[in-house]
Amino acid sequence: MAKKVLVVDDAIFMRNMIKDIFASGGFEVVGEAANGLEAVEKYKDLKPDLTTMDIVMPFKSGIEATREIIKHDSSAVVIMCSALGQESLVMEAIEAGASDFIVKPFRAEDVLAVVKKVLGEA
Amino acid sequence: MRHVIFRVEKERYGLPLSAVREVVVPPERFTRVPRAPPAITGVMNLRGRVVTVVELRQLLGLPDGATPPSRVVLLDRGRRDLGLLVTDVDGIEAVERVSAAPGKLTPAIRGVARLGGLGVTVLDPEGLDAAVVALFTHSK
Amino acid sequence: MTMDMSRYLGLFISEATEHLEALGRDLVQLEREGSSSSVDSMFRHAHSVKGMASSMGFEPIAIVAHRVEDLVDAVRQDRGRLDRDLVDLLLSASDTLLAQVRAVAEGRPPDDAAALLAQLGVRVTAMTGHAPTATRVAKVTVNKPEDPDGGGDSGSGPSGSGGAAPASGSGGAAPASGSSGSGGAASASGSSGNGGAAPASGSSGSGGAAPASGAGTDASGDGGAGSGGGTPSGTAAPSAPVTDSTPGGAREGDAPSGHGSQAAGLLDAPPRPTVTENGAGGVREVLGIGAPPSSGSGHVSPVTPPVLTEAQVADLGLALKAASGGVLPGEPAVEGRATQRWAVRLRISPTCQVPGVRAFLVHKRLTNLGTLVDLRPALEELKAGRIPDGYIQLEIETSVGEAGIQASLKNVAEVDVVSVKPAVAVVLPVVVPTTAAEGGRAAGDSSSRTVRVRTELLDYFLDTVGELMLATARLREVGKVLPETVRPVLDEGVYRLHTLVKDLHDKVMSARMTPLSLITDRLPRAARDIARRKEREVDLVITGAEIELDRAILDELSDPLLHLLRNCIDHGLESPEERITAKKGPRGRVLVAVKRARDRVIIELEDDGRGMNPAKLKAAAVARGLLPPEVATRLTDREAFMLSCLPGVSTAKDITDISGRGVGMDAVKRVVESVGGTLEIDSEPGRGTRFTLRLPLTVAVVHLLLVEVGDEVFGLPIAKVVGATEADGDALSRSRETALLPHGNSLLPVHALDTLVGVPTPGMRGVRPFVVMEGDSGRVALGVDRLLGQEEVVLKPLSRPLDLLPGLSGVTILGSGRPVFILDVPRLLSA
Repeated sequence: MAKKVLVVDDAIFMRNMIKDIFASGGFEVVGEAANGLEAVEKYKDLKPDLTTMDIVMPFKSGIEATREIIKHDSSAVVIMCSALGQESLVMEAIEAGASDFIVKPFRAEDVLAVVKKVLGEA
Repeated sequence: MRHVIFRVEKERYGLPLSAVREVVVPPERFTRVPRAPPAITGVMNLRGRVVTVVELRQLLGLPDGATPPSRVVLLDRGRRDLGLLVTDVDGIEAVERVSAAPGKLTPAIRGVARLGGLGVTVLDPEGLDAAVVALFTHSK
Repeated sequence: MTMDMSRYLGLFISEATEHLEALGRDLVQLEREGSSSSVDSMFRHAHSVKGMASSMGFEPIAIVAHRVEDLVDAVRQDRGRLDRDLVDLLLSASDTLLAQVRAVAEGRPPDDAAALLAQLGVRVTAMTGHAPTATRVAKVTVNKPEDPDGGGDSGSGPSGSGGAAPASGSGGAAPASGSSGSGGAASASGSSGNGGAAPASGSSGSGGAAPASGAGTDASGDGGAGSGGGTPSGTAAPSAPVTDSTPGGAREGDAPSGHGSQAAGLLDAPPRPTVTENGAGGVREVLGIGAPPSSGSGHVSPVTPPVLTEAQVADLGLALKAASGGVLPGEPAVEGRATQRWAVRLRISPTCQVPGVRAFLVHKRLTNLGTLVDLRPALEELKAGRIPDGYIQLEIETSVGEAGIQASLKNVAEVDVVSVKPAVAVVLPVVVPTTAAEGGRAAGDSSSRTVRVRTELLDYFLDTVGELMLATARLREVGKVLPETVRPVLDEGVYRLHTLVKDLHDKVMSARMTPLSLITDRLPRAARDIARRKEREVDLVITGAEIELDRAILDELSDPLLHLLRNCIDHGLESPEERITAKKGPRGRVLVAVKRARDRVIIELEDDGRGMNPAKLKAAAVARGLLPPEVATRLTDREAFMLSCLPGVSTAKDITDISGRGVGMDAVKRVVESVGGTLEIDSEPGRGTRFTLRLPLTVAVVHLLLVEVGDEVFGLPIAKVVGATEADGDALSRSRETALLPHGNSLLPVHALDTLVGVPTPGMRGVRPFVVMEGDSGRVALGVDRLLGQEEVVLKPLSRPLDLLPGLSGVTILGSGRPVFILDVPRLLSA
């Protein structure tokens, strides 16, 4: 069965791109969220196998959202979407329980490689 | 989801059980906090921890009431030792289906729900945190 | 391997336009009202545009957006930096960005805006102290009607030369190209109807309505459904206290070269240090010693029997819940099996773009398994990405075995486990004194058998001992109301308990003593990096690093020492040429000497550089309105040197990226004082500067003068108290509004403590006590109601939100159980 993915980013552009990358890798994107608040709600609803999480978002940052998701489900797999220059934020997210991270701009094969590795499929 | 239900005067509020550390009786006197905003009642000693106590009535901007607060609801917020001074605590109830609160939109309020035919205002732990921090950062 | 990006073009145009228009609006609003929310949203807009443009391969747009992001970030850290010029520049940047997006929409290559970029670059350098970092842009094929490659070299992508450019790597992984038939170029791709987007005219923001970033999905209802209350804590996230300052920008090799106008190489330049959230977070981390990590799942509150609390537990159900969460903070999740030590060798893939974060992730995974006892490179080196050839070595004590170690790293990308081997086994879980039973074996080295104990455990011991002391004091109070017949028995028991607890406290404190080398060991490397960047030559000599201090103080000192070292090299030492002209050797010398003097540890940092100029410091302080000119003239040189510790005063012309990191001299002084120490500065023009830190051996105990104001009690650090005197407050002479108290042969400004702390009381008329204290700019007298005497107390750091208040340096709990705040008088006066 295809693994379920929740895509969190405040830009539709990014969400669409990430969704396409996952679709090409045989994943099922079951939901998307445009901010940290929505992300936490959607996570609880959808219980995805994997969540990609932008860091800089309105209302609630990706780090806070990750912290809450992990608190809700300690086995949640959250992958941070970061840009160069956000190193310390990514480390904060890792402290908060993020499983791994990918660096923008994304290359499809890098993203899928990290994701498959994290899910133990590679 | 199970919520701790408490009251400010007659009004009922709920917080997710997972966000509440415990409920205690307030001490006879609080230590007042220098330069703190008025909503901060003070700090109290809870088994060696110094807990900041906020009067929920003031935090939510509710009018003054007649009944003295009789309980402190301590939030389970990592390193933030924070307590809410409330009129009384009713108990733990399952609250489902929280819908958006009509009218005012403060981040501290998540929405409203019905419980035994009566309304409960469901609070948001993160929003409460933010509201308290905002008190401190805006007062300057 | 590239993706066909053309199908995102329409979305890119509409969404980027929205962001840019919103950016313009925010900018104008910010200039008008200065609200912090608009700075944050500006940052998000610029950040989003950068991300989208770089994904699309639109390099000129990505670079301009990146510069804007840098500038907004700088404003976010210091609102004072936003002046009219900057607003103009940012507005013109957002206009340019809109024009670039419009060009793309029309199938033309975006203008490379070289002139604007040069201006932005200069401003970034001026505001952040370092050259703008390069912008990473995807190599992308966009099948547009006209190929933008004609003009610029947009799609060039990362080329080799020097740095670790992301090489193709990974064996031909899954191709990802368009699954659905892409076809049409500029379709606005439906999903949520982001209305009225259409590339608007742009000119200068404003105008267009278009809501920023749509996706109005709106948070749905509760949905939490079954999810019960207490999430099982599982792994209790041990995470060693993070004390380092992450000297991020200090990478080897590659200097960020050009202003990026064309940004030929597009390598990944040194990571931009994001001070914003890191700074504050780091400090909190350090302060929070003893508390469970904030991220920790579950409720980890140390459970003490609720017998002696003045506040009783009201609700049984809740009490039970609290008790069931009673896991020792930081205790490993796995128990039962024997702990064994393993030597692990790993390698971070050379193609990894951010090896520092990667290494940090590995570190985090491993600390979840057990105790890391040896890590090379050290954690702060790892976090900064300084990992020679990508190799990491460590030893870990864990009960999960080799398979467990392998399993925990198996699913981390870009990491190869080179080897996992058993290391020398040390299996003792806690400090155990050598006992008679082991006499025979221990004969040879009976004096010191040591075992490593995790810091969190030590913190926990200290916290618990602190609570034991409190409980004992409480018992004694309770005993006072008992009838004479039973009281002696209780008193005797309490006395014995007190002695035992005190002894235990001493033992715990001595177990916490850690040699200074823990932090001084990183100084030589830091000195080298700083010196190299500033083209200085320096010999660093460290003596006395074996002297021990309480672990908590040591953790706090790490950043201040590094800052002082930077200060010595950056601002103290002259260039080799200047030194030769001044008849000194070309190599500067910095001496770090640690000494023990009775119950204090003294750390001296001394350089043989140009020294500090007291007159300049006074002038700077006066110019900033921090000091009246007449006071400035009366200051001694030594007092003038201390002015450098006032926020905003610095004689340094340039704020370099090494010093401009939020840890100024004011922060150094504050940290030193917050652990109960003092800072002195001595300097001689042409000869050098010496910083002297006098520190208590342990952080736990501070001496306070307790004073009463109305019903409240406050603590004043004895170290800052000069004396106390009584006077008739109504009879004092006045200068304008300020009363003046004669003291020695000067007149001190008087402040009523009740108004100073914002807890006004009816106030005492007539004769009242005054406490004379050292302030930042001279002595002051504080009017109080009563002096209650001196006391030694255990200092507790302030938890959020109390740490947001100015003028508090900590809190303590008196024997009566009453919490009392310790005041930071200089900050109370200035805030």
